Amino acid sequence: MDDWLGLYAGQNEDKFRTRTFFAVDRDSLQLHGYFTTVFGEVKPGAELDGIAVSNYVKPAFLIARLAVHQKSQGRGIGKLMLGEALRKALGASESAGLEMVIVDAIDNNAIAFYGRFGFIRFDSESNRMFMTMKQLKASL
Amino acid sequence: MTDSRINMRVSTKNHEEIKAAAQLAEQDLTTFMVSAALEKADRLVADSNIFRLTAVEYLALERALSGPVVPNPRLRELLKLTKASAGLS
Repeated sequence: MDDWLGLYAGQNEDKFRTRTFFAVDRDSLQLHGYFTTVFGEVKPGAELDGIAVSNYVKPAFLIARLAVHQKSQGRGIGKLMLGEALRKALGASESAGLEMVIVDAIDNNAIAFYGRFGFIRFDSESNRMFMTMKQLKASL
Repeated sequence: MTDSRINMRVSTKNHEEIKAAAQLAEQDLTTFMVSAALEKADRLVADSNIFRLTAVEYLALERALSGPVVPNPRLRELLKLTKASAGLS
């Protein structure tokens, strides 16, 4: 991350169901933000039953929560954490198949934030956004 | 360990139906109800990272997966920024 900012893995989350990483000031140990990751999958919903779509379950890397402490906003910490989370997705895709990264944007600001880095909304109503691994790897 | 209580009121009709089902399952009423509720709870928790897409969403995804890749300069810069910090944690 940055020189002054360290990323620490949480220890005891949900019996390994999820992982949470904390962005902490190396000197003051102040917590600036965190993100949680988990694997997930995407599949066509029931309304697509009987329509010829590929029925494969698509494996996804979910950035389930990414939050910056109110006092720490405007310092690029969210951006750094997103970069770290995407690095983790890239690392995971070396070990097992992954087709995309998914984020849940909390509001319009977050939608714009993720959009700047190429995340696409699933539809115009949705706060859920994705980026294909293909796209991510092409930007390495 | 059974050290807490759930109190609930149910209609006689529901009570009879659940009791009959528990008998079929050869379980006492409590075991039956707790296992049924746990099954549902497990499924809900497990499903929270399974996304079922609508037709519109699915098509958008398929398009992106099969379409050409457009490298994003901001994303490239972001990944460069985090590359320098291999010694994290």
